[in-house]
Amino acid sequence: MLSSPVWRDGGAKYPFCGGLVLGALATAMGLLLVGSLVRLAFPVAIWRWVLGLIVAVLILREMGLVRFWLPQNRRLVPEHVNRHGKVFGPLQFGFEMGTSLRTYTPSALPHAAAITLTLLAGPLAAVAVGFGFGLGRSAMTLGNLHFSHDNSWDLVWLDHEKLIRAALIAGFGLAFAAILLSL
Amino acid sequence: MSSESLRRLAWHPVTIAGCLAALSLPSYRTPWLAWVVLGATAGFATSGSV
Repeated sequence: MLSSPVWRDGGAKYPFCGGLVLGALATAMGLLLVGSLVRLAFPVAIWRWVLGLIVAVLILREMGLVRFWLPQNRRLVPEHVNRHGKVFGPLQFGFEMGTSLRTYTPSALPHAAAITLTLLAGPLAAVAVGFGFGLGRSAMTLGNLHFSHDNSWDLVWLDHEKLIRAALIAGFGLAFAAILLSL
Repeated sequence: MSSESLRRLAWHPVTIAGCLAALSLPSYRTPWLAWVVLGATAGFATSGSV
């Protein structure tokens, strides 16, 4: 599980979660910038079809119906960020995890969200996705800390993984459909 | 139900995932919420095993 002893230190959870949100916002802004260039290649109508196809395939992967490799940086943030103190250490740790560029990604949904942002989002939508992504990651941290003191949240997650993934796929799918319909 | 049980229920991963899925229901009328839910479901999905 993507849990860490760094944010288990009582007061560290707030700067860690703040870092998660800031990191996600940074990635969202980067993808927005890339998207503003990529979108010039074809008309919006074409991108919508391409996006729909890609997201459908990624959701099939998330459902376990197909298997293929997805890009991810299979490294954990080193714990020496602790050297930066009780606020800036967790903040940096959270920021690097929040960007999703220096961590494992055990799901296809972040890729689907990233490509949706790249191809469809405006500046405010990009902020909304980044903020939401940081909150979603923070929910893992806060859930783990408030559920118990022995990391049993991770085991409960594994025990209910199918149900949790089904709920997340449903939520993601409905939100994605709402975005497509609102264009 | 004790406060301890309520706290565990509130922070249960199924509860969190269910709340995120439920938030997507009104998002068809509020596009900004749809974008937030899109990001939040993707973010929470990264809590899974690697």
